[in-house]
Amino acid sequence: MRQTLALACALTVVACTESLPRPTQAEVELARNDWPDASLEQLNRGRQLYVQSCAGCHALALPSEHEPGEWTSIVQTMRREEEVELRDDEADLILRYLSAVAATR
Amino acid sequence: MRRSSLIPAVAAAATLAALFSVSDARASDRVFGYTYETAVLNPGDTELEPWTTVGVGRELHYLRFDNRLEYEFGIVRDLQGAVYFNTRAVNSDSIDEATGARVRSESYSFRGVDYEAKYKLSDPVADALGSALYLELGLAPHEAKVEGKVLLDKHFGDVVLATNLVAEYEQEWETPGELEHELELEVDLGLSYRVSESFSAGLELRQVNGLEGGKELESATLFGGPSLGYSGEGWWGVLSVLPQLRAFKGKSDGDFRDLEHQEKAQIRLLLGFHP
Repeated sequence: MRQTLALACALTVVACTESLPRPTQAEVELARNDWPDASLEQLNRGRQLYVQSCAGCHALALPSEHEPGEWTSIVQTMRREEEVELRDDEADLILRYLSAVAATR
Repeated sequence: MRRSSLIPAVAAAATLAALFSVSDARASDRVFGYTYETAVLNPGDTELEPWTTVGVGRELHYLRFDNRLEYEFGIVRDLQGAVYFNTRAVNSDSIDEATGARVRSESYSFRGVDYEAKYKLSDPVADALGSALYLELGLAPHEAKVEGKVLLDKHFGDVVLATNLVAEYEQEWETPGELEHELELEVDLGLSYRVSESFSAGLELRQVNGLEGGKELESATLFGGPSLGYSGEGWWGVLSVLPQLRAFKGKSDGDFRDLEHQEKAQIRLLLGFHP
């Protein structure tokens, strides 16, 4: 009984834990201030690329850990100094996702 | 400045430098000596890891050094492999059955080659829970083993929580005509806090169960202690010191521990070097 309770508590804690947010329509509206053609599909693709390109090298930072404006220089630095292999359009999608979600959290 | 006052000052400066130095920490840098996290190397990335595990003290004098040299490599995204070369050196006392005298012996042996595959299923930040599957096959001159692990972890900001469910099945044929089976079931739990960019400090618990012949529970012990990690540029290191806290099964006479099957303490120093 005690073990079941402990397991249930542990699962509850994990379930309530913040994971990397999925973009919403509110964030699409925000992103359109800087990128008028921004869409939900693009932000989702940006999230996917962020996980694929960055999680293999370091623990992912949540978008809210930096100001929206800071993400531009972080992404540029990672491409320049850490030689992350990203095409310009992929870097742009990652930046759209991180900046938009950072602005709403 | 007198020499006696210089030593604490140098130690304090070294500590501060270690805590606040710029780090090149990678996702695959470990923060626990025994508990695995789910991170894997990127395709094409490699790492060389020398392991040293020291087992200290049983019912009589006992000192064991298990040395492993691991070469780890990323194969495709989310999948890594590794090869280990293992050696063991033991210095221990035993009682001579004929004379009753205590006899000290030393041995050094090649413990075979292990092959590992680790597949990451989910990420500890992007997903609600990080998860990975781990399989290790070992072949030595007189034994073979297969080890499977389910790895789970979660990052809560600077805190890392990880747990492993481990099953290891081993066959030994040291004596001609005799085949021994052994099953070990283990649960590992680690909690670590990133004190600075480079330095992490945490605790680990290991609950280890040995089943004689793969069926009957012979030994059940709990180890626990601190784990310190450091990530530098191009390398990382972890030191875990885990004394045996208690035995649930197989307790030695007059002791709260099982000193027939396990040591009083296990210490592991793990280093990783990446180009």
